[in-house]
Amino acid sequence: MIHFDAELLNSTLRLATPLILAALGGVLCERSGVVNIALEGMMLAGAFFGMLGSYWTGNPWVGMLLGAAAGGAFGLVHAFLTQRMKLNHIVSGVALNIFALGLTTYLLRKLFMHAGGSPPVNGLPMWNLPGLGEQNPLTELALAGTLLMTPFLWRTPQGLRLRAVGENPEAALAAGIRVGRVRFAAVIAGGLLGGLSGVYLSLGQLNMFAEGMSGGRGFIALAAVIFGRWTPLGAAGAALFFGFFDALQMRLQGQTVGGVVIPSEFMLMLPYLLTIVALAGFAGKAVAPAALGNDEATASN
Amino acid sequence: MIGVVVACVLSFSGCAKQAAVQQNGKIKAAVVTDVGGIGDMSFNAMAWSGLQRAGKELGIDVKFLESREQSDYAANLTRFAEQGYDLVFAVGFLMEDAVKEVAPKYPKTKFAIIDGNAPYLPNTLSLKFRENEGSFLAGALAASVSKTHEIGFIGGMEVDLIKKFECGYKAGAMTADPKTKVIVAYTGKWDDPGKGTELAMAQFGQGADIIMHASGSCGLGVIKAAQTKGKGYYAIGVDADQDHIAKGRVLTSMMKRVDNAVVMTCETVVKGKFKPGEMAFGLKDGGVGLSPMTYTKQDVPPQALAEIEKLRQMIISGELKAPSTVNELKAFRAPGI
Repeated sequence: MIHFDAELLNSTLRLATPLILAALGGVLCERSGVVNIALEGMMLAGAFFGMLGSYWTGNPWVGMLLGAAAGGAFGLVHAFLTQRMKLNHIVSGVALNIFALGLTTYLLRKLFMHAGGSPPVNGLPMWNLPGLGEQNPLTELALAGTLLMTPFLWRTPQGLRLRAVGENPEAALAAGIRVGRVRFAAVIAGGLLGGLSGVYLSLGQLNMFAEGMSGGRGFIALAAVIFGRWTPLGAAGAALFFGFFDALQMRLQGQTVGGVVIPSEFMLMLPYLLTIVALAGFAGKAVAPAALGNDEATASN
Repeated sequence: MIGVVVACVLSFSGCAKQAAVQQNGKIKAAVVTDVGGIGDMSFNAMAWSGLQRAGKELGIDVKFLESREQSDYAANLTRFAEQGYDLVFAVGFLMEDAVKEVAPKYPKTKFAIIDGNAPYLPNTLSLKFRENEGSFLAGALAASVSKTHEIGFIGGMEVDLIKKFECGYKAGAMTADPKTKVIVAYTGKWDDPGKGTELAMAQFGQGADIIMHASGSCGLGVIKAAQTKGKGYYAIGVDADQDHIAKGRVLTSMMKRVDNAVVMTCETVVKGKFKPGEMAFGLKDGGVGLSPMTYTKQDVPPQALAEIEKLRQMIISGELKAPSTVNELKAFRAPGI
């Protein structure tokens, strides 16, 4: 019979942390009207530069800052390409994803003369918080960010402007909001969070970088954004949902049902399958920011 | 002693020859890795280190190309064939189709696929390993060291090749200690260490204290998990000697001497004695085996080490057959030791 160890919830948190951070970044970005499928690339860049910062200085916190900055830089490029150069948002995102994979692979080989993985570096220490137990600081940041982002988006003037730009940029422009500037800020902030999610992979879960270690998590995070209807709580909830079923399937593998072992492929599919089912069930009610992908208002400024 | 002298002479003459060979561009050999890359501290890394050794010892020109995606395989193989390479190693069974596609078009280039089936062509060779034999010893060792009588196995994908590891491992555990339970799980990937860590934490949480992996670079995560858990918990490495990655926390590594196989194949080409078909390397010829356990030997009871050695001899002599498939495992009866 299946027995659930106490690790199940911790495991859920660990698996969900990078998804939550990236999904929060996605919410910020998309709420401002910029489609962000570059989360995967931001994550990978964050993972690499996080490792590099820790490798250079021996200090994982410096690594964390460098990783976040790398994600932010990707955000800046994405904002520039979509807002100034008027490039299609999807095209820019795809390009950034490919660029991130190429860049990290190239730098890994150039700097370390080593392909595949980096040497081990200092990882982030664990923090012991009352009620949560031993957790990675980035897990705590992800949870705190989820709670703080809701009042930010709905209770502050900056949050209102960000949403206005994503819903109706023409009206926002008429009201004197500098649409381009708000979008730049939102996409860069989204990139910082995307970068941090990558730092979690290289300095939190492991203490090294491995090529392509983001492993599609950026896209799962994007699905979480949509599944969570572009709200911080919803996106984090969706990320936890996915994390929970991923943690669960790891514990269900090899179990027998009526004497028959369930194929591992089926278990591996489970979190994705349930996410699709959940998406299909909720997608009808999910309404994207009205001006998502619309750059007309920034054409003139 | 004679061996050492011969090796020295070979390597000296090798160096001298190398320069000459590179000038007139004689024999060229290359490795095309799968997505794990030559830095996987494992399978691909060993293929490349073997080829580098062959480059030094035999004075041939060597190069590698890494595949970013499965769709790169055929293109990478073709690239070397187009450049007139004499011998191209395709690392991993995932490249079977690519070899089948490319090899007939370039009859002058010889293709050796490591771990996969080669098509029936005069220029293709398949290099295989009896992973079940080495895994059998790893399983027996794990079962004799485990305090919880529960051990884990983490594979990359549930395919025949990984089943060979799994079946050998289970049979070995059963032989050393019939009470030991083996938990098995798969990451579904070869290059996601994060998945490896979580899966290993799940198995440690379920009561396992030793976990063997056969999952490419996911295994780095498995080793990381053993390191996080600390004393009393071990990972078992695979393909290369991974013991040094987390000193003391990797009980042993089930080594596949891909490097030796690569060097031997290069030798046949240099001597003009290349034979197409299949070559299998097992415990007997040093193709597989356990690592020297540099950091963990003191954690293993001497009696267990003696038992492992006995099992090794029994497999080499043919007295004991390590199962390599699920059906063979079902039919397997543990011998008394």
